Amino acid sequence: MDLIQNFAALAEQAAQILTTVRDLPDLEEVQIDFLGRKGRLAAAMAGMKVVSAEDRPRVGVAANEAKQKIQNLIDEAHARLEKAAFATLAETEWIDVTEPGKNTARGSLHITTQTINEITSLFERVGFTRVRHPEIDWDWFAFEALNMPPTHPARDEWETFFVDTPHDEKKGKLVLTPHTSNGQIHEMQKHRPPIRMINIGKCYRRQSDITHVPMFHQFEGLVVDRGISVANLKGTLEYFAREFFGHDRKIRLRPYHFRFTEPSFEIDVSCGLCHGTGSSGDGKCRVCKQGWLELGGAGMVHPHVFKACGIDADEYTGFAFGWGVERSFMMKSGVNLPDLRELYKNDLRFLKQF
Amino acid sequence: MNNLLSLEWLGEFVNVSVSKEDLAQRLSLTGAGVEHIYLQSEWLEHVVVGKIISVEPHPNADSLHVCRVDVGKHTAQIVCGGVNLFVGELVIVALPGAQVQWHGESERILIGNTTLRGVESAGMICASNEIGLGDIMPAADRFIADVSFLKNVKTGTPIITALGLGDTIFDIEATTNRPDLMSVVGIAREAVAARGAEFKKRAEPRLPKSSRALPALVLDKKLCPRYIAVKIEGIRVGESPWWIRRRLGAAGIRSINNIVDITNYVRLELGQPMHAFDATKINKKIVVRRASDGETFVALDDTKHVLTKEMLVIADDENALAVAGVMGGKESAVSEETTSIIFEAAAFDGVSVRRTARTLGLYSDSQLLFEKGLSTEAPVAAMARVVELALEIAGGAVVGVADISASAYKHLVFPFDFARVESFVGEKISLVEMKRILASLGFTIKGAGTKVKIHVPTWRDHDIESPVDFIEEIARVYGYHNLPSSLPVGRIPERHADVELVSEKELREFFATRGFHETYTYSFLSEEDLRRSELERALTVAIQNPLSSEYTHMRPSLIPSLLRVIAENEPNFPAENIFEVSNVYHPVKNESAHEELRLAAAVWSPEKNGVQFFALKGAVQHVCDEWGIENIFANKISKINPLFHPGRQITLEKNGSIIGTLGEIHPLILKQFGISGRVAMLDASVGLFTQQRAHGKKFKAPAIFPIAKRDVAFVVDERITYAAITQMFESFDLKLTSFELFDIFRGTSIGVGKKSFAFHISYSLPDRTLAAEEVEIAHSNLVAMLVRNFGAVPRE
Repeated sequence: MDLIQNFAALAEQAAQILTTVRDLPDLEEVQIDFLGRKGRLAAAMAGMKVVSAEDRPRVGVAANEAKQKIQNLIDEAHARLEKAAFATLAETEWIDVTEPGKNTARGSLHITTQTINEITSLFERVGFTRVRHPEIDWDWFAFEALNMPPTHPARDEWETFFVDTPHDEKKGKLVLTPHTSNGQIHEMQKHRPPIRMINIGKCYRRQSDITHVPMFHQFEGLVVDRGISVANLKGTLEYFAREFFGHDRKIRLRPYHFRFTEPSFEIDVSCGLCHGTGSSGDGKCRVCKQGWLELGGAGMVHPHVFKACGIDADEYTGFAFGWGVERSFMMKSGVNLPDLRELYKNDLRFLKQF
Repeated sequence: MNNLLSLEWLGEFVNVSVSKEDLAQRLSLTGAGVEHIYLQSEWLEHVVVGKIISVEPHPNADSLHVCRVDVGKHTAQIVCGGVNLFVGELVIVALPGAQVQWHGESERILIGNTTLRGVESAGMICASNEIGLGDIMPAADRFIADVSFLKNVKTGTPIITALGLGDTIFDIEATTNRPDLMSVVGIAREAVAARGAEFKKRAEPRLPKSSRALPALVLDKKLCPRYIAVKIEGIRVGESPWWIRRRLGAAGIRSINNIVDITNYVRLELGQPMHAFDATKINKKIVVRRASDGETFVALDDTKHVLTKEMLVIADDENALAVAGVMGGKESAVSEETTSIIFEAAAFDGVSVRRTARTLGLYSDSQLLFEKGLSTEAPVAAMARVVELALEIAGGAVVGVADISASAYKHLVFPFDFARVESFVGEKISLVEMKRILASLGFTIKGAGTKVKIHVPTWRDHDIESPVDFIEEIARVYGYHNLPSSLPVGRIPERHADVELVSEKELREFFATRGFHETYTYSFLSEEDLRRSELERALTVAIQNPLSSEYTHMRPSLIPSLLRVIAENEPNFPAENIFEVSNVYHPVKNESAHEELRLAAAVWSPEKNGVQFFALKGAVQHVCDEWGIENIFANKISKINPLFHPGRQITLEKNGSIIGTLGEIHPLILKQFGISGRVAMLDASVGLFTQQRAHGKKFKAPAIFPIAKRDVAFVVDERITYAAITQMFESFDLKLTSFELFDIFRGTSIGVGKKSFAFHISYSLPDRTLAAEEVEIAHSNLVAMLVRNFGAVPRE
């Protein structure tokens, strides 16, 4: 039975010694001294040989308990000493964290790309697919099928670029598309309803001044299905306003006129600066008209457009919307470019800011 | 197009039943957008009616007078330079504290007690343009505004009260399809429909009958489907009564004389443009005809024009008197001496009017209305109203009437089913309300229940084109803001992703994160760009009507666009990286152009040693690794691309398709663009690049048995290529499983025209561990082969 007491005493000795250990190398020595192959515990275990078979289990348990206890004490000490060792880390391994970070070469995505990505992703979340349609297209797709008869002003030379090439007898002149709405026609000719597309592309108009660029980007949404209503158009545009501009933003539809939709709407989004009140501080809000900002156009697909695409207007209804990518990000970011043409001048001092 | 609407005038047609702000809101939300609301006179405080008691010469200035003016509570001494001052005259006096616009300039100044050339002056006797009334009371320089026409007005009365300038103006934007909203009566109908007003009963004037026909002839009834002319003799041309001048002023129209003012008044009231001729200037009869090519015309505004046979004119037996619907002529204009006039109210083809105006560069309020398309029936009521006003204001008697129509007017009628509205707008609107809305706008509904026939009123016969337009009328007046809102439900269409779009996005992100800045350049190039980048004009899509000589062709390549960007940025950034992903355009005979999405990336810096090339090649290699495309660079160039440096270019080529070129831009071309450094450029087809992704990445299990690594370094002639050496490695022995170049060295220590390559070589077998001797044998064979094949000199 001495043996059992021996084991218990070993644990107590270990506890005693450990209180005096000051660093990790010392601890290592203690560990070897007690638990090593030739350590004190091993020596005590040697006494097991003379224990009777009947006592052996009890003695074994005591040995194991002692070993476990010592190990625990050492682990505790280790944790304590390690923590103490790192206590001075702040001093021994100090660096100046206010120095600038090491730059890996930084490039940039153009603000137009960033906006297109954002618009694409938010519409994809509600089942739209991004598509591409021609930038250079026949008059028939760009105007005629969109219910713009040959006498419509948009077809006059001073707003649309024409390609210097012979007319096609059926499809008319070749134009640089002044809007992405030709995509509606291509989409409906290629695909039967249901349709949920978002067409983003370059457009061209013969104008260049501080508020116009001859090349710009539009996005065009089109939804065609049975039972699509004005309420669905409102819902979709409200979703856009919330996701793109912020959750507190609202939209308002006002009557407008486009040839290829009926009814047609102008979409206003509530002003983010004055929160739709129209006034800020001492007077009128400087960015909006009575709390609203004009965003773009939308409408229910005109029956004549459906007809041109071979879709039965009695069975299907649909809506379309679209406006400038550039306008969207300027409204969102509050970036007010004194000259819109700056966007496509590609001055790196400009590009690097985005 | 904007309409400045006087609320006072509106009040002649309707009783407004809501506040001004509420009315504006209702109009805006239902169709006629009210952009601003303002008072006709917002800043005329302390400006009053005064009566001149005495006019004395100024002791120190010949051009000034010293007046004593009764301004109500007291008599003020005022120094004035006006040339039309007389005792007893009623004048407009700005008292101290008032604001005026000095000589009509927009900035306002405050009036105080002052001394002018030694004489005290307590206020100012105003000219009309000094208080913003220049349009209503036009006057020559130095003439002060004489308001002696005011009866029963006490001196000291605020001028706003005395002249009735308390009107409120709505600045309304009308959409191009609704010229009817450019009139007082048009807005009145909208106000009633939007439940902001009720109609007043008004007696409609009737077109006078005359036993004597007016000789008139319409030769082109397509361009002029309706022409009404009325001759009045014995009129007195003069200043318009104040109420007409005031209302024209509110609409921003300058008063000319009573006859011209009346035509403008009726246009503003009813939306039908009118014209008046001096009847004595018309030789024999009115002829509405096309102009002959080269015919000349002097317009009212003194501009001279040469006409063409596409243009319609109003002429007499000999000369053009007016360009139809655009502008009257100087010769036949109504003047002070005119005693006999002919009023014209007509319908002209809108497209013809628009094209004529554009061609001549001649614009007017009338032309703006005509080009939107007006009803052939509208001239009837307008002529009746003009004649009514003329007889009342200018006197005289109707002596002749002409009314020529291309055909009898037939009302536009469409069938309509009210039951369609609910599913279309997503809201149930009561049948009673739907019918009320249409009726208040002037539509006549024939039939009971939901299936009806609807007659379109004359003033809507151009914009209503199909039954769906009735849904719009109902929905907009009901209020879009009152409709519910929900995302579309139903089946989501299944569409394959456009792989090119996916690649495009990845490429942009790839380059942007590796130090390249994305550019967006115009799709156009100039002839000069084509020339200096040696691109063939015949292979481009040319623009027929370019905006300037800078943008005449759609680009067949992104390279010139990027070179322009580099040239512009080089002074600020001598070394940078840019890229762009955009379409280029190729003409296709008898077809629409072919649009090809391409990627161009450029690295520029001053060095001449080709570093830019390798920086860019590294980036391209990264893309290929990312996309699992192996060996994209061709080892031999099949055809030299003249845009690139002949000794520094390589083709991206795979499975027989040429994907693009990577190389330094030819120094001569750089010079043409004014670039002083060197530029490496990648120009590749996104579509063809993307096609190679189809194969995807291949998986190779990591080697199970140990790999033996050996290094080899050797000197070879400069012209021994990396490709030649590595080809040898690849075909050397199955045991050689991979190699990696870790150093290239050039220097005098190894000799001129020489370079040193250093490679890590790995040896292993898939099924067993290689013995050390086997590795040594293989490696020494490799070195021997380098010596034999390439004359390599191994280094220690």
